[in-house]
Amino acid sequence: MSEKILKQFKTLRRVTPSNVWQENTRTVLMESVKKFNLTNNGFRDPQNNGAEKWLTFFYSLRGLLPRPSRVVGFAVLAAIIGGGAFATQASTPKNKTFYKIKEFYEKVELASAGTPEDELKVLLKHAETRKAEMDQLIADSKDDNPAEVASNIATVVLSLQKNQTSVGNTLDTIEASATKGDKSETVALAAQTVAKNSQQAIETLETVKQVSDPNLAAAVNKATATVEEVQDVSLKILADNVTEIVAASTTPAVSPLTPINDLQSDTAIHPEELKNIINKKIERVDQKIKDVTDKLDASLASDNVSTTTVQTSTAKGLIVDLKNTSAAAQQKLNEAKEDLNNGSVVTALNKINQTTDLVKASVKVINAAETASVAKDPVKSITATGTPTIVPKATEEKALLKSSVQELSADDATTTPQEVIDGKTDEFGQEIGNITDSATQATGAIKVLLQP
Amino acid sequence: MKAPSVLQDLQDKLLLRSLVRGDAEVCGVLFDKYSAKIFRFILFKVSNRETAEDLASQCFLKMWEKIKEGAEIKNFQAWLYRVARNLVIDYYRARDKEELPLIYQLEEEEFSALQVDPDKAIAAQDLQKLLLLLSGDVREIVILKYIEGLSVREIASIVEKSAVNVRVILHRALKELQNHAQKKLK
Repeated sequence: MSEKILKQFKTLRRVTPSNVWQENTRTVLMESVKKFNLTNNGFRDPQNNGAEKWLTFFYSLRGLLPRPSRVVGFAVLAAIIGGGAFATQASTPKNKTFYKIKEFYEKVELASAGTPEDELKVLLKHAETRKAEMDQLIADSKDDNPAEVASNIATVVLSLQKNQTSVGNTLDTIEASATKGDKSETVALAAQTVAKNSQQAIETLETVKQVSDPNLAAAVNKATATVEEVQDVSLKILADNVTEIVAASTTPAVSPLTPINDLQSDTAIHPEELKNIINKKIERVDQKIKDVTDKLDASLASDNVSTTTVQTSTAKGLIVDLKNTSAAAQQKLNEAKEDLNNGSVVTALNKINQTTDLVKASVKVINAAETASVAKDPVKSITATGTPTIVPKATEEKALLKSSVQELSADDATTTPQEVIDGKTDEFGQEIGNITDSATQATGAIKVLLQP
Repeated sequence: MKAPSVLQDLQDKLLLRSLVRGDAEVCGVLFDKYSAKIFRFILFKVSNRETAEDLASQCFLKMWEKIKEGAEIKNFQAWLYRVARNLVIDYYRARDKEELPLIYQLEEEEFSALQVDPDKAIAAQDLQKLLLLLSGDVREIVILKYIEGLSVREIASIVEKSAVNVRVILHRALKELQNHAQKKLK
């Protein structure tokens, strides 16, 4: 009788923790790991080479397997690896079973990477696979059910997004480890490869947009944003490390491109290819600036802003400031184009990075304002409850930014662009941070005010 | 039945290896794999969702702390259950200083309302109450064996007892349940 009861205990497996708890704890846990990586650069032991690690690993498995099943266990492992290799070549999410094997095989492959550099190579290989899968799915899409095609592509897009996040983290780790020794060349190579890979990913994601599905479109936009972030990081790292090599070089009067030429290897990209990537980046930033300017023009022309109240005039001032910032960003971008054409890749990269930061800060402010606008006229809400300090604060910071941009342009005439950029980078970073904080603060305040 | 357990150990070893290198995604994968199991194990020992979630969070943070410190882990699952078990023991120790553990408060009143017919499907709530009627060491072994489906050897490694001892306790669990069911039938 009690055995029957005991069997029924299995049904208690359905008891699970709340999703909120799971999500929160997972985030906290992952943040702890990331934070530790940033401050301690993980646990890697540079003295321990790959072969030694594999031997240690297989030796550690010895105790895991009971003697009779040891041979069977390794046979199963070999079958999984063999099957995984087959699945890796053949499958897309259309075949769910093979795709699961493929994912497992990729995890094993990633886990077996001995150093962050190896890990990056594996991750980039997986990114290539995701791109090939997307191409395959699009090519087959004519014969398949559209909803199924969109769902399969969304699976690959999500996987690519996760892959790119890992690429960004690994690149950060490689750069962080470089500060402990002279590894600038490795870092520059890694950054170049990532920049090239992310450019291809962005182009593939563009082609996916031809499959019209609202859920897929959202996933593609999110993935594109992640890939662009990774590319931004790689270009920043590239700019930093190439400059460092120039500074350390004993050869006088080298062009900024020379170190990149020196870094050529089978995995490195050609300087012309780097120029192409930067040019495409410039085109995208250019488009973003245009989008921002269009939005700002539309806001200035709309009825909401032209009504005459103190708050709307402040908002109008804000928009004008943002427009000026966009104009300054556009000017900086044009200079970057010229620098690139003259072969000053590093200077161009630095200018593009600063322009990107400016555009990001503007987009963040606009998004916060749009969210607020959707949430029933925030300016009135703020004034009605007597908290008018938020908007003026943002205006003040934008004015600071504007004057800084003007100052930067003025300084360019007397000093070299690189010196000016170096001198202004910290100041810019702080001001952009302030603007972002203001936008976040404003959005938060609006949310609180609109709560019943 | 050995193969899945061996493969699971192998998979855990691979994941753990990546985690040791600081892969945050892998930490998430391990959490996804074990969070529900650890939560249930704690919940059926403390019988309060909030406390269980709190202790389960502590368990995973402790896991990461120990891995950071370079803890040597032979069997990850067993090791994680041991961390959870020790946290529950600490929790009851701290609670003993304040008031009696919840299980002793529940016993009489809960049992009087319990409906148990082994031939019919028993409601989840009643099954949980039945669990609470088992003594602490018996209950945790019943949870691991009959809810989580672990082998006697795995349970022995978690509760730090011999396999023979675990079998004896499982036998005792059968008897205890039989006694409770008979009481109810009378």
